[in-house]
Order: sequence, then structure tokens, then C-alpha cells
Amino acid sequence: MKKIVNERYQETRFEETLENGLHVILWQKKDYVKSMFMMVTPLGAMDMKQVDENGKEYHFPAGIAHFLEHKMFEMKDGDVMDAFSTMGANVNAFTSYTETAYYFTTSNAIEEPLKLLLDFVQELAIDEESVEKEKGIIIQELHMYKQMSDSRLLMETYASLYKNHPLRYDIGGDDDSVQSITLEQLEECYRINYHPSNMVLVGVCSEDPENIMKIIRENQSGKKFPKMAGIKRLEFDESEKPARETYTFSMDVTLPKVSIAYKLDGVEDVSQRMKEEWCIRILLDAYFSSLYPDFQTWLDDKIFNDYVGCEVDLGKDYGMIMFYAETLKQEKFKEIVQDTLKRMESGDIDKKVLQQLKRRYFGQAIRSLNSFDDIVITSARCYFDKTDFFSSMDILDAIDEKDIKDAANKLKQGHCSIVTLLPEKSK
Amino acid sequence: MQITNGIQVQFIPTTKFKDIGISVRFRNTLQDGKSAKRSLLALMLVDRCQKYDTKLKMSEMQDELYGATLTAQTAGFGASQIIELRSKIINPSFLNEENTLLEDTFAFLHEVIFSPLLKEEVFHENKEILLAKIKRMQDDPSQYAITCGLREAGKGTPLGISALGTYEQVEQLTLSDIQQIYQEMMKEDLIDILVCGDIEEDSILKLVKETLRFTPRNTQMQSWYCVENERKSETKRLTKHISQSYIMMTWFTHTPITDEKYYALRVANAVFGQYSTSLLFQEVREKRSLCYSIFSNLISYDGAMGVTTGIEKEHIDKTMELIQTQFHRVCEGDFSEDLLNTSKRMVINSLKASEDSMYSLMAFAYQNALLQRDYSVSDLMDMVEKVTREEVMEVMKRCEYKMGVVVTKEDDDEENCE
Repeated sequence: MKKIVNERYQETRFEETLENGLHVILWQKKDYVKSMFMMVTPLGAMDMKQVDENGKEYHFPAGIAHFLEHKMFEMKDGDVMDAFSTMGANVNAFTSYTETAYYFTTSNAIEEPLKLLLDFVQELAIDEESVEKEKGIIIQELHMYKQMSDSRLLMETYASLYKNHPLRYDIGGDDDSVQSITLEQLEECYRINYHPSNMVLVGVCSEDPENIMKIIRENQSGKKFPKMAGIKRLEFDESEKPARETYTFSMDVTLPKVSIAYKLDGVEDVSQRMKEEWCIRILLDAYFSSLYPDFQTWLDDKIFNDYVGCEVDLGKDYGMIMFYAETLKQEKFKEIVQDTLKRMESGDIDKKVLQQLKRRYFGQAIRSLNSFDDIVITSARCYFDKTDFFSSMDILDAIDEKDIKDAANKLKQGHCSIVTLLPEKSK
Repeated sequence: MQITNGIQVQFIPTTKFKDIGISVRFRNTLQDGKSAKRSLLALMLVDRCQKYDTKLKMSEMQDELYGATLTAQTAGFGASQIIELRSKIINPSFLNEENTLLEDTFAFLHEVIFSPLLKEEVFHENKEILLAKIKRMQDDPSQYAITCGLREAGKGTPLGISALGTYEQVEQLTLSDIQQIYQEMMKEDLIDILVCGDIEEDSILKLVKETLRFTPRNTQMQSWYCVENERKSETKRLTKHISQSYIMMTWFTHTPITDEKYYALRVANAVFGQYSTSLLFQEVREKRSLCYSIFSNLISYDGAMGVTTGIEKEHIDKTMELIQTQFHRVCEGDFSEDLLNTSKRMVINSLKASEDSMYSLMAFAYQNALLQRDYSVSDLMDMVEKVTREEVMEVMKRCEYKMGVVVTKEDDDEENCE
């Protein structure tokens, strides 16, 4: 067990890779009553095509990772949620584009729920009937998100940007893909993605890490797993052009919403990716927030209200920046975004603004260490990305004006896609 | 601790957080019309102030304080409305050099509270923002169902009043309304200042006294009450152009938050619908796949309980019946000993876990102030522990079903109540 201390952020964690390949990360948070443990596989909604070490390819319908997440909550002898509740713990799970995570929190003893977490994630017990029954629940869930205008706007933006990439689907897939998922597909997907050597277990609690590690080692040494050929997500080839340059849809909302997104190349190297993402974020904050003097004018001119923002997201095989707003002046908003992008492309940044933003992000990073959720999920993602938890902040510290100039070049290649949500009033 | 009449300060010292939180809570009566003014005032207060009279200057100041946050919330607490201004800064010990982070933050709060910029341009901008917020809440069908459900069930009582204000009320506001309500707030409101984190109480008290010098006041106010009105129970149907339908059902509990049986009601709510172990989730979702989520909630300061879920239109009647059936099962004691024990444990766990969240610690301290008592978390856990099956049945039987609101897609034969 390796102890890793970070003096600057005053945090300590312990790491170990077990014999079966399961990697364990334990954060020690003294004084806390609560504990949180999360078991994560890098199987996400993006994994529609995978390949193993022997070159064998696997293809799955959209939404399979999320479907599997739902079905994991059944065990041979009863329901997982009930079992955790009986132990005084809360269990839950989520699926993102890049991972599926199962976690529990408790303010009581850790040992029993921790073993249960390992046990239920490491066993799949489903049959035809239970798979069919789940489809109704999942489709209700998809419909719920579809009726939320914000998440729908984001979904349509992704669908506009990508022709092939699985980002064009909702994480849960769609009605048809969910209906098409079979028991065999779920079992195969489980078999190749839930092997301990693929997964990471992250815990945050006040207890002695040595004791916890012992519980985990004992639980794992009692189980046998077949040898696994390593599995990898297949990347998708995307053309530079978006799938749809413009797209308009309507919902029962009061004001129109617009998103303007630019499709960028992905970045293979993780450090480079984090650096470019920071640089673009700095530019966005400098040119499209209250730090930019015209921002107030845009509000005063009612180009948009407080529902306005921007995002940057870079992955291995995809990238995008997105501006969105609730607006009655859509043409004017488009102009402003185009002008903003031009300014950002110059890569000019005031030294003082750069320092100011670094201060802000440092404060935010410190505060995020209060959040067990942030800690566990970031730990898992960093592990899958083979990077250290705090390296993102080190990268930020080192960023200078030249880095920002370089990253700004990337923006010049961006192809634009505009999605408009128009009100469709009730009769 | 009272620093002057009507002004209290509470410290919650702990080293477990990386930051220090300061919450200033202004309390006045929740009144139709007044609530809209106060919710707009709250937005204006954190937008700009006289000294930092642009958003740019506000951001620069907050970044100077290492990304200090400054937010405003308005909320109803039974018969009163709270405006909360909250700021969080990192623990100054993370900075290498000597610093005046705490002093600067209190000085900043002083400017925000005592020298607001109540001017036309700030007024207009924030009025637009508040109107848009209200519209967005109406756009979200589940939120819309909840708002309508409470408004309908609580007609003529504080429960029926929106702490945010209604669209029509906000639309009619003028700058002088806001200036007048600000003066009233500074003169009349009961004020609680809560500071949580790695703090040294004496020096913070000194800072509070120096920078937040509120005048004494003699306001008397009781926040909690038990909602009652003459309305007959009924189901209202509202329409929206949506595919899924939403239900909000409301009961009046007749058990105020100060009642000795209140914690039995907390357990009853947990058996009924608060958690995924509860009857509602198990029967409606797990057994029949009718919905994705279904939960019940207590609106404790008003003495009300609500159930919300989203379903397909053809299942509305069946689901509402099923919800009633589960309610009656709790009344009749038709639930297992396991479920009772699990429910108690869940409530106890959430109480325990509240000690790990700054927000919950502040909420807990504030609750003690509102109810003028000094319970500890473990006192409450004891009360939950002692709850019996008979008490759960008793408090649930006291509940009176008041209103069902259904938001669904329009049919020609349905009235549009928007």
C-alpha cells in the first residue's frame, strides 16, 4: 500500500493494485462521520464498439452501459437496495459517456456495505423476464430527460455535432436501442468490462486505511475470475464538418434557447488535453463572462438573461466548445458569439486577468476537496487516464501567455453548429 | 448568541472543511406581494453594490478573495420568508503568506449589505432575470406541478404563497418598491449570522460586530404553523404540451414541527415515500414499472406532505389510486417490521450525515434558532429511535388529503388552467 501525501492541499491517500488487478484508492478524511465508496468501470455510453487484445471486436446498441447499470441492482438472493438499506447505507449508481459507477454512502460501519458493493458489482444475475421488465423503467427515464429543456438542448447539440461518434446518442440510448437490447448482449458486455483488472475502487472515510485494505484483499482473494483479454474502446472517425449545421426543434417553453457549438479535434495525450482545456477555459472566462466589459452591455441590451454560459470539453477522439443562452435576439446572439470566438482566436490575454483566474481556480480546487463525490469520481477518472489527481492543478500553475496563444490556434479549425429551441405554446 | 435585539450570531467551529462559510439570514413574514419584492431585492444585493458598481468589479473583488462565492437565496420557512446571503472562502491557512482574507471578506459583505446599488439599471436587469427564472420553473413540468400543487392546496395560507413571487407580481414592481422593502428589511427583519469552519470565535465575533452593525429591532415572529383551510379535496388537471404526465398530491399533516410526534411523522414519511426502500418506490416503480422516480416530502414548517412522480398519461388514475393505497397501508400499519426499522435507520443516517455538510450544519443551527430550542443531532436521533409502529400509524391517520394536481398533455375536452 503506497501512501501519497499532498502538502499543498493537505490531503493523504493510499493506493494499491490487488493480485486480481483491481486498483484501490483510499482517501483518509479525519473527523468525518460519513464514508463513501465507489466501484467504477471505464465502460460508458461511448463504448458502442470495443476491441480486445486479440483483435476481436464487440458491437453494442446505444445505451447498453446504462441498461447494465440498472440490471446490476438485482442479485440472486434479493434486491441490492434493500440489502444496503438494512445495513444503514445508501446505494446508487450512474452512467456517463466514459464510465459506470456504483457507490454507497454511510454514517455507520463500513465493512458489510463495502463487501456488498464488491459482491454485487462482481456478479450479474439476470434473466429474460427481468430484462424485459426493465425496458419500461428505462424508457420512462429517457422520456423524463427529454422533457427537460436544458438536457434536451445539450442532447440535440451533440446530435448536431457528431455523425458517427456515440456522443450523438443520449447516455441511455433511445427507445428503439433500449428495446433491442438482449440478455446475451448484456451478459457479454458485462463479462468483458467488469473484470477487476479493468476497474477501480475508491473510498473516502475517516477509518484506518490498513484495516479497510485488509477487508478488500480478503474479499477479493476469495473469488475467482477467468483470465481476461484487455478491452479497449474503439475510437470513432469523425469528419471535420458537423452532422447538422443548423437544427430547430420546439418544446413547451416560454423563451427560445440557442446553443452554438464548435466541433474541435480530440487530443490524444492526457496532459496536453488538460492544458488545452484550461487554456480555452481561461479564454472563455476572459471573453465571455462578467470579466469582459461588454458582457454588461449585452445584458442591458437584453441579448440574453442570466441563462447564459459556455463549456469546453475535449476528449481523445472528440472536442467541442459551446455557447448557449435563453434569448429573444437570436441573430444578435450569434453575432456576439462569432465576435467572441474571433477575440479568443487571437489568444491575447491580459497578464492580470490570467493571474486573477488562476487565483479563482485555485480557490475552487481547494473547495472541491470538501466534496466526497468530486474526490471519488475525479480519482477514478485520473486513474483511467493514468494521471495524478493533482496534476491538473500543476498544469494550470504552469500555464503562461504563450500556452494560451498556442491553444487558441485550435479554435480556428472549429466548424459551427447551431441548435435552436423555440417555444411551442399550449393551445 | 444575541448581539443586539433581533440580531443573533452562531458559530459552528470545525476543522473538517477546507473553507469558511458565512451566512446572513434576514427573516420577515411571508406575504403575497411582499415576497416578490424581497426575492428581487435578494438578486440585486449580490449583483453589484455602490463600491463595486459593475459586475466586473464584483468579480475582481471575489477573485481577489480566491474565488469567494457570494449567492442569494429566498425561501419560505412556514409563515416567514428568508433572504439568505451566503459567502464561502477558502481557509486562509492554505495561503502561504500572512493574509487578511477573513477581514477582507467581512468588509466586502459590509459593502454588499449596507451600501447596495438600488438603481434603475440594476433593477431592470434583475427584474428580467427573475421573470425568466419564474418562467423557466413553469417550463419544467415537474416543478410546475409542485408549484401549482402547493398554490392550490394552500390557498389562503402561507403554503400557497410563492417565496419567489409570481410572474404578475414581479412584472408590476418598481424601483421604489425595492428601495422601500430594503429599508424595511434593514429595520425590521430578524437577522441570524452563521459562521462555520476553522474559526477563532472571539476574532470572528469582533469582525461581525465591527462590520455588520445592524440596529436593534423588536420584531416578533413565529415561522412554523400548521396549515389548514376550508378547501374540499379534489383533483385539478392542468395542461402543457408534454409527453409525460406529472402528479403532485398534497396532504395536510396536522402535526407541527414542534409536536412531540413530529419525529414519528418523519419516520412515517420514510416508510411511505422518502426513500427507494419506501412503499411508493417499491410498489409503483419496482413492482409495476409505472415511473422512474416517485418520492414523498415533508414541508415541515407548514405541516404539509407532498408526493410527486412522472408517468404516462394513461396511468394517471391507476397511479393516484395506488399512491392512496400506500398511504392507507401506513395508516393501518400494513408494513413490515423490517421496513419500519430500515426507515428509522435511514432518517438517523441522514441526521448523522448532516454533521459532514456545512450547509446542513448551518441549517440545523438555524432550525434551533427558529424553534427557540437547543437540540443536538443526537437528541433528534434518540427521538427517531424511540418512534413506534403505533405512533407512525397515529400521525399518518392525522393527515388529511387535500389536493391532487395533474399536469398532462392537452386533450380537447380538458380545461387549460394556466
